[in-house]
Amino acid sequence: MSRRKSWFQIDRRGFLKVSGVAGLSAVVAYSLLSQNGIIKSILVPAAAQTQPQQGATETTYRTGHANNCDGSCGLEATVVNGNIVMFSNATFNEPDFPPRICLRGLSQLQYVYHPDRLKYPMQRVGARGSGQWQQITWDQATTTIANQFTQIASQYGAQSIYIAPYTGNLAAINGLIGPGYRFASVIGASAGDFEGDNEGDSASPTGAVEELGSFDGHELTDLLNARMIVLWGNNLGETDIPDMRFVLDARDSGTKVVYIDPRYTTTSQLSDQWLSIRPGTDGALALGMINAIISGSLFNQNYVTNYTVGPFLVRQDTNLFLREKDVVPGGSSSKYMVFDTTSNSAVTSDTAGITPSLTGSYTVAGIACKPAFQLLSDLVAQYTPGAASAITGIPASTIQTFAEEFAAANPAAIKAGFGGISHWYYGDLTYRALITLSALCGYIGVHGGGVTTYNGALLDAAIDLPDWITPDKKSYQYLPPISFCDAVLNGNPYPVKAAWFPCDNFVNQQGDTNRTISAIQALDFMVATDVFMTPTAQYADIVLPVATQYEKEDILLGGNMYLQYLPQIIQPMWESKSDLDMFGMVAEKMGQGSYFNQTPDDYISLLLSGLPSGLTLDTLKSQGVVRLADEDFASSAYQPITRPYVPFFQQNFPTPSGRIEFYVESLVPYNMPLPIYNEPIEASPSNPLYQKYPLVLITSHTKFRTHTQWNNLAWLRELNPKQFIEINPQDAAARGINDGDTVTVFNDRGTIQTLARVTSGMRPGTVNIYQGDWQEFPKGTVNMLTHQKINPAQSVVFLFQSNTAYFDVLVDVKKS
Amino acid sequence: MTKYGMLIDLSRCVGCQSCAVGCKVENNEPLGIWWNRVLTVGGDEIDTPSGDFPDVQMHYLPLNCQHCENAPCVKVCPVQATYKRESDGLVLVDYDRCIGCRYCMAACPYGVRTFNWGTPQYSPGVDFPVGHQGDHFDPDPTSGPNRLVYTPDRPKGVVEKCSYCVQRVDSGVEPFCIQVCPTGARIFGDLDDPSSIISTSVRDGNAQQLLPELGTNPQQFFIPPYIQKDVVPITGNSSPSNLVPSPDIIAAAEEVGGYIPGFKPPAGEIVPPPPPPALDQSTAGDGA
Repeated sequence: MSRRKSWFQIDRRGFLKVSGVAGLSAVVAYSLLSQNGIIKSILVPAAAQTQPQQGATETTYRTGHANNCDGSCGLEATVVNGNIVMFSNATFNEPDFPPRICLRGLSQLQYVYHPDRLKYPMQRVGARGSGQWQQITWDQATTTIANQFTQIASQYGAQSIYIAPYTGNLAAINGLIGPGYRFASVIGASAGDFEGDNEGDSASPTGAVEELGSFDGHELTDLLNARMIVLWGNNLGETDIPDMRFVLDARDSGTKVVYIDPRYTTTSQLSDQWLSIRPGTDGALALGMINAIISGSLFNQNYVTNYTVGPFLVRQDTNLFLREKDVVPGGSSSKYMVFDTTSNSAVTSDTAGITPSLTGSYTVAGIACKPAFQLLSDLVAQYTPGAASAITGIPASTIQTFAEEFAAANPAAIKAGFGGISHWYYGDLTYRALITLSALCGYIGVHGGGVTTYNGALLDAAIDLPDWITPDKKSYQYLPPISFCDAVLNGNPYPVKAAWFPCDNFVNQQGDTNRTISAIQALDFMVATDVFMTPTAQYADIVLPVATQYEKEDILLGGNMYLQYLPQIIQPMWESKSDLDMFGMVAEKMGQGSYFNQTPDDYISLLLSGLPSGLTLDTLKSQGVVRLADEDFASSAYQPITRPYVPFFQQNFPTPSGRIEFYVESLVPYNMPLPIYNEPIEASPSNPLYQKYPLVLITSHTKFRTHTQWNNLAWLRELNPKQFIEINPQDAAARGINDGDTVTVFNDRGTIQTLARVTSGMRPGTVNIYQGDWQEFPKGTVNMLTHQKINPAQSVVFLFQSNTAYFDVLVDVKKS
Repeated sequence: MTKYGMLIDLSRCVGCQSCAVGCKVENNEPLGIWWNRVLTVGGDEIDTPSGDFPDVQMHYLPLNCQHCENAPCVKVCPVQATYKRESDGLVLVDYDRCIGCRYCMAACPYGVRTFNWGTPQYSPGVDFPVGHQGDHFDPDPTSGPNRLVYTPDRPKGVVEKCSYCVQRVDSGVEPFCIQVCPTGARIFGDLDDPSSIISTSVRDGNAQQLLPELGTNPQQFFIPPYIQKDVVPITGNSSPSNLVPSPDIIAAAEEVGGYIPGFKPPAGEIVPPPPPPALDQSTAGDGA
């Protein structure tokens, strides 16, 4: 890559011209505020320093940011005269984990004190979605909800009531694993699952569970142990911004950083190599690398033989693993057969002193078999670097070199994006290809290696979740969010008649907005809990104002390896209440009040009660943040814990075989036991629809909000005032579109209007609209263009079944 | 003497605007006013590169007051409202003395000064000053008496700009943008102390000033944007056991009580992988 032109050759005019803050001189169209009510201090002698405000008391609180960016930053809130006047970054009390914050955390007081907050419970008086409301009391609201739910449950069964996941709050007792599940469990309702900023981006978790047995990532400080970091579909510099620090630290110590993304982004400019890939073809790139690694004998033979299913023989008739029972009468069904080249015979894999073969073709007891590694080799034979180049658009020599360097790095870490990999119909296959690539090199479970999307899953495992969300073994019925519309509209898998969306902007974020609205309109009854009148709340029958995370007590776990206490810092604003309180009021009126009659402290203590270290809420409160003790991670499979945390460090995998399964038996019915490459379901030139809609639409994550949250904060709007579509100059010119034009983006599912941002950072043939904007609903709602196509293979795992293929979309653009 | 300066490592700047938003919080900047802007050097719009795909480039340039040694704004101020503080070299604005003539804005070659044309408006719904509470007067006796260098109650018709968070610096606290930068790209310190981190970083990092030809001699320095090292192939073969940090590094981290960019955190004891898990004989059998 060429050296940059001298960076400081910028003239004086340039400081005014180059873009920074959009519309600096523009009048900001917000309501005029009363000037702050402080009486200016009387002038004081020069020797004096800062004059504190008369009578003001300043208190600071340590809390954490529980929004769904997975960053889980520690925040320090400063309170003066009962008002939060500042948020800054708080310490984690550990030398190897720096304080962290970004523009979103810094803006939080605009959220808490926003004039548009929902202030009291409201009941719909006009047609659904018409925006006509009447203020009601909490008693009226909760009585109505209880009566409606009771009536619907008696008519259709309690599972016809759906409690949506809390996608906007990752805290425990009022958020992601919060009282909605507890409520659903005790009344027997349906509930979605934990994933989903976007109502489902679970392809990556599914792929991880299939191949490794669990979805768990390296602590991100471990990136410093890598010799190569691959940011795969992960614009880390814009999404989990503080985590980019670890990448830069590693890079500045000599680690090579490779970034794979169709778009040129801020992460591109900070990486050593940027590979622009045709969207949705990441699996083919991984298979091309695997081809180069196998054909160059660059893989770790010892690791593949001992820790993966590589040597396990696969029956050519059933495509299942050959087991002892298949060849020996009375043999075990849990012993896998391998071909031992020492004895030249098929033996069980646990036989001592054997040399299992990874390659070849064998007939055992009349059954034709091949080692799984041979099948993988057969699969990737067609994905030479040249063939992978034709699919991905990355030069063959680049793929070859990338593969060689990846194998030589020892170790190389893959940090995969949630959206970039998951938001595809076949995202599970892509994620499995990445894991397979890493496993072939022996990088799973070692420092500086692995495939990481999310860190902190173990914290969830450590706490007493079952007693909290499924008390007395009462359990909700799991309904993946992506199946919600089918359930409402078609009664599939069963009818849903009522729904409660707590902290979940479902209407804006689910794919295929028109279909989502049809389903919402078909409900008999709908409740929304929110801070603002979001597009989802607009369609509700009852809207309940929720207190922000700073107005209620909680704990935050996940996103990193720290457990953070979230104190109640200020009283709930206006008439807002905590989620726990409002679910409790409805539960009481449905005869289930005993499950909600304890204090937040009691429920937090319940969650902590099973920790072997004996951590108490009092300790957590006094320290504000703790790193859980090793013994708190209960499963022996994880012991001992290493630091930085590395999943599978003991090379124990909770898979059926106990090994890394790049060959997955449960996917044989779907013809996907190996991580095959399939063209995107829609966004492919091989799709006839491509002739009509020749642009691939991806919907990336922006730094200016977290999904739909913070979209209406004044400071962030000044920096990012309008929604736009990024389009390459070639594609724009072909359509007569100039930068700044109002354009129409359309396909057979919908049409939206937005502004064109013509940029050479956009890959030709691809356009991008940052997801999550709801200020221009429905005119600019990008999910009008996306779909709800469900990959049935997602259902082989217990949870994580909801994946929306947000990026697997074709559109065209025209000047409005 | 002390001469405070700031160094921004553009090779670590992600353009996230956290310094800009942090500045707004700490200094209660009105809507539309940004003392600290993060410019995109590349295409015509924020976050866009120059060039033709895929041969494109971009970097960010955070821009706040450069606190020049030879500050043009100080020279043109007819009422000495803008002045350079002798004790540490900060360029400050006395809000009580500024008459709003804006000569300084014309004189500043970096375009970092802003002006409140009307009554300042703040965040909707936030009817109290955020950030630093209360007025702050310059304690340096050589500056003259009653120099109001910070007030949350911002007067109309007055020029305002980055003060290196004088209200914090005078209490021995670094500017807020330094504290909140998520990638650790900003350093603040004493340029007159040759052993300070900023002095050594300026020397070692080939740091440069903006528009040096003007002779303004800013106290603000920049390490150039990142140059990709992809021409250097990865060769050889390391072993994970080489990656355990040295005791010196761990001790250094503990000494400063915090994270040191570029240091490898404790990796724990690296143990060789155990043998493959043995299947539990007791559960072996059909139906598994």
